[in-house]
Amino acid sequence: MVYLWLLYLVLLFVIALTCWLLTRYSFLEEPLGEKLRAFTFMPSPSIKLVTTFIGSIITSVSYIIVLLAVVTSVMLAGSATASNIMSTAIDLNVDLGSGVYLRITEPRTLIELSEAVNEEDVLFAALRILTPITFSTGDKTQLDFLVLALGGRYAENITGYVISSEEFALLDKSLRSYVKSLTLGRWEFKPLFVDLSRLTKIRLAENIPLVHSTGSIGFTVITVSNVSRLILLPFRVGLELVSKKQPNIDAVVILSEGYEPSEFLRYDCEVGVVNGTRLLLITALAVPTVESLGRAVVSTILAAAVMTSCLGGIMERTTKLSSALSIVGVTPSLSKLSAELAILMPIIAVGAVAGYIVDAFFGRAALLSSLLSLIMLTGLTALMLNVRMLRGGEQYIPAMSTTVTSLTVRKPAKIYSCIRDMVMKDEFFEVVEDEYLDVVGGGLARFRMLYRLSVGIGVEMQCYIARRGNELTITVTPVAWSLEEVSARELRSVIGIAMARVLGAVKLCTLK
Amino acid sequence: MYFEVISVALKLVSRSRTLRYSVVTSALLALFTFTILGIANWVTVFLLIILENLAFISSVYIDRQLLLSAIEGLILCGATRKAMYIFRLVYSKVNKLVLSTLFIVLLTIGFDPKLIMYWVISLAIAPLEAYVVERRV
Repeated sequence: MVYLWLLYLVLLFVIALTCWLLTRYSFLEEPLGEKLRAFTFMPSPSIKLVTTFIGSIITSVSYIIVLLAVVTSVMLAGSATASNIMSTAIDLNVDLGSGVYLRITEPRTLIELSEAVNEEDVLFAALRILTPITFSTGDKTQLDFLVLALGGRYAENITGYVISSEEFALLDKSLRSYVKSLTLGRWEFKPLFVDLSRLTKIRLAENIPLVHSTGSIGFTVITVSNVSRLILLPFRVGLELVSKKQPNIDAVVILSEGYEPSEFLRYDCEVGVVNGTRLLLITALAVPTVESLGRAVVSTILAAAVMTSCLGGIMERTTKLSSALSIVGVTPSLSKLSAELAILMPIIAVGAVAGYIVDAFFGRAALLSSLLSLIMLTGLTALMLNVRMLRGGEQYIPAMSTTVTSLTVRKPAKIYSCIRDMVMKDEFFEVVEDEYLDVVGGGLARFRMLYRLSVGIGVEMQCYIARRGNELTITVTPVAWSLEEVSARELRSVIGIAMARVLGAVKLCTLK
Repeated sequence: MYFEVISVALKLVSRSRTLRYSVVTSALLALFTFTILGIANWVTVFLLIILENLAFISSVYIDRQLLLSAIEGLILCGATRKAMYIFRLVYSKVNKLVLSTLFIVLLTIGFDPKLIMYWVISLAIAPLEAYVVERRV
């Protein structure tokens, strides 16, 4: 109980510290202000844009709240998960008693299991060694056999054959005249000749024969037809063969009721519960219950509610940044996409980290719930961002003659050279020609700009700079031309971009 | 002046989306808590506390423009520093009251001993979070 209170004191301290930090650094919420500067594009403008947006919003308290809500929701969905183990029911053809069913195909697993369980607890064991084993059957003769090793208390009832001692091996009666002795390494067996044809008819379940199969046609499994190739050995001998030769195997073991099926889920084998002729196969894959998924949905909606309220704060920032960017020529759709990516990427990243923590502490089923929560949250955020950003509208970029007036003492020629320097650095346009003409009370500047993303589209910008005292009036007139057959709408867009560039440069140059 | 400030704060909470947001959030919190009553562990309860507080803090952003306009109006009408403090206090406390009361009332139907600690912590940190919200307002 003392530890519990200590834990709560620590938690209280953490919360108090968070509150203090939020308060202390509340200046982060202050408006960004007009941080106008020449936007020089980096080699990868898209990445630059996204990082600009990330840098802008990541420090906002509202965005930190959104990230915390995502982490909390993802972890809440995971921690409140109850899981079910997946199972499949199968009808058996023979009564295998009641206990734990194991089907093993790995020699190593069979050896591990044989060490983990008592031999007395084995009700039935059938081990098929799929690799043929060579036995000496006389002085200089050898024969390849498919080994079927049987053991357990129910083996005689199920198969009808009994191997009373480890000294004996059962062979088909057709081999009576060929096999005089039977030797395998240090083992020397006394062959007993019986009719083994009955073995091929025994099926533990539909399509699970007791003897070896040679393949399948459709869903029908074909068993070995030549019973003279079969040899029946005691299970313990089969086990020793497996540990010595590591052949391919297929073994079915039924253990008595004292064992828990979940104990065997960590082994590389099929696990089930058998009850008479009913087999319930269970897997190690735990899946969240329907209730858990419901909890994940509720926690997601809760986080989404928190996000809805906080997105207002984030939108303020992105709108301001979009406006600033549009002045230097970034199209609204590009800024919208960049803003969306900048908001979504950290959400996905922190959600994934939270999911990893959930996986480490609560397991795979909890991780599934967490992932469900994260996917829904990401989708909802994207949806909300789309709606909010559409509502915000796009800033109007004039595609016609525009006049800008400002108070400045700078000379028109200086303003022209300032505008030229900025337009020359542009990513979309290449200035192929520029000139300046001094006129009385001002000047006339002309820029012939070629649109880089097209072959034959260009814009000619004429800037008439007039001075009256300290008042400076700049009239910018665009004229677009094209060698290609492009629509008027496309030309208007190009004019819009060019105007945004020049007007942005004009605004910056008159500020100085 | 204080009366006007309190009435503005109350009007703002009741007529804006903040109240609806608080009601919906607390109902969702209660619904979630109902679903975990049988399997609640300390981690879940702790995360629930965090989410509730995030919901409370984020309620400030719901009608931020309206709130800022109201504050601007009050200052223009001559509200003193003390009056503004009362405004902030009333606004955030009413909000918290709606959020917590409904949540707790809904929870009493399905009681879990582990949740006692939840209420203790929730009450303990209430002044801190209220302070944060007031600062944001």
